[in-house]
Amino acid sequence: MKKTTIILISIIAVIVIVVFSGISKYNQLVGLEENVNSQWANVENQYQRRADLIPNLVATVKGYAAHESETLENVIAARARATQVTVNPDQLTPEKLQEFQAAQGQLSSALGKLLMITENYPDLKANQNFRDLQVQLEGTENRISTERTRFNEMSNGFNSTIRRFPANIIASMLGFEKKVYFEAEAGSNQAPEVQF
Amino acid sequence: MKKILLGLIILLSLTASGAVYNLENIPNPKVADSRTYVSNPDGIIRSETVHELNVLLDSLEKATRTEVAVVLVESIDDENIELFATSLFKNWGIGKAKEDNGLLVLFVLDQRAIRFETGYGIEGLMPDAMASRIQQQSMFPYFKSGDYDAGFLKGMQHVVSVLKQENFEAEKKAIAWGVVLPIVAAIYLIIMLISFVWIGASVKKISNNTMLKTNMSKYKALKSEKAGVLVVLNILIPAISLFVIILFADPMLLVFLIGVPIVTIPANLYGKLMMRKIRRKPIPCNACEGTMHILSERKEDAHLKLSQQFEEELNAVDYDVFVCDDCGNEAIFTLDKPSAYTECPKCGTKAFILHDKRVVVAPTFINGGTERTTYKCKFCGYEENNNTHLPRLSRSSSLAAGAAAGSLFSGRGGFGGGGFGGGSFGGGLSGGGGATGRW
Repeated sequence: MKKTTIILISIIAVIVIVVFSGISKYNQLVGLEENVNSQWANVENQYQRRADLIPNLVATVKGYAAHESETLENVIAARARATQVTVNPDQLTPEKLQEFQAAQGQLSSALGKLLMITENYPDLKANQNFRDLQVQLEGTENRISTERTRFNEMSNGFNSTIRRFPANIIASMLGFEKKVYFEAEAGSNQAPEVQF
Repeated sequence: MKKILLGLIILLSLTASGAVYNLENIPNPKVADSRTYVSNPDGIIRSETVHELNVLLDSLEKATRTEVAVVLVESIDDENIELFATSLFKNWGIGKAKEDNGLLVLFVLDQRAIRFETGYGIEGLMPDAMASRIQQQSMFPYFKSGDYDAGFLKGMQHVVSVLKQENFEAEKKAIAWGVVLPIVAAIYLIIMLISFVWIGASVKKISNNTMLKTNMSKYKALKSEKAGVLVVLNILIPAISLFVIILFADPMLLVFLIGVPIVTIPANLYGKLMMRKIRRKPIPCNACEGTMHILSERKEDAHLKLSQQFEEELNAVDYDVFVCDDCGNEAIFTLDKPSAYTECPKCGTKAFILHDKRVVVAPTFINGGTERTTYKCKFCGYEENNNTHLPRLSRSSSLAAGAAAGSLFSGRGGFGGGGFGGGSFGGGLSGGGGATGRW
């Protein structure tokens, strides 16, 4: 074989290897991004689940604590605001996430207040329906935190992948952007105070 | 062995002190035996209760494929029981991978807490309220008096009665026919093309081969070449793909292997046609300058001997008769066909065949016997007898054979096979669902 053909073949081989590894890297990034997006859907699902529980909870509480109407209305209003803020995973910017978290945070605190006042109504606490709802609500809060943690893990995985060589070249060429994280809500590191 | 011993010692020392467990050192029951579901390292419930629960939960998995893991520990330190349960569920992969039909029951004595962590797949079957009610109604009344055995038995029976309501069928892997069929069609097409090109190349190579002088030798060469090509295409390719399919994909795809010999049929027919053509090609006359042409089967009989005609009738030999157009010179070529006939020792016709085979003297346990085989030539009627000695019947040998067969079959018996030995949960995932109760 001539020297030039050997050189030519090796150049072609290198190009082929580079192109193929680039394609597989791109596919990997697409897969990771898709994971982040579907995990975001899981997060929103759990928030939705909480929102769906609230009308039921409010109706149950109302029967026993009609004169706490201000707290109840606050919960309903917060729920209405929270359900309006939905974020498409493609437009998951830090600002949007901030907005989403703020709306859900307001609902959380309104709910917390509601649950606190129910402590004053022994009849309500003995109601099986209310107890079931409370368990469901606790379960949902736990689910929300699980899915949020998993979302953060996936975002983290994606972000660390696109920062590594050689994926960073492909990511910058094809416009893969850093994914956002959930941050701990303000004040969530302090245990809520319960007053009797 | 040393490692196992060491592990045992560590385990024992942990048990003795009522250890604090973390995600790494909580013993997974499935590792030791795939039919155990209960991890009770601190001996909080009695071993009879553990056994009963294992039987109960095994029957649940057999019936519905739902996996339940029960873990009872003294302490997990200050860990949050919900987070701990979610992580443990994920680590162990309780429930089948796609269905996520698992349930983790985590009991932590020093927190006086029990958590039911439900997999995604059973959240509908066992909502959090249901999980909480099972705890309140079936477990806590016993827990309060310290009777954890009864609490777990009643609680798990309640759990099983709920989970029994849904069967998780073993998932059937769907083949993406839309993707597979075009690929298969393309592969078939490629094989078809290869078979044509390959056989065509062989035809060309052989018909131009000057080493093969007669039509008949070319015919034979092409025949073996074609057989080789078809063996490679019809057996080697399916054999390789058999391995690939078994290793990587769905056994259903094996159906497509049947198609491979079918797509090579056209090339096979083409090869046969070319073989025939080569055999019938006019040849130069060796007496004059003219060419010789093959005669048809009917016309050639006039040029053949009676014995040769008879052989053709028996399909034992094929004769090609070539006659020169100009001088009438004739040439006969012989093709031996595969058949049961051999050449008769007397007349030389290929019409000698096994005529009769009989036992003249039957063998006994005391004396040997005789068997007579008769060969006869169908053309001239010549017969030849052969006596062969049959060995004396032997008790010991038949016994040995029986024993061998017996051992072969008994070897397949053995103990049920399933069950013992290591295993794992199916790889399910939970999403933080479930309920925690405290008593």
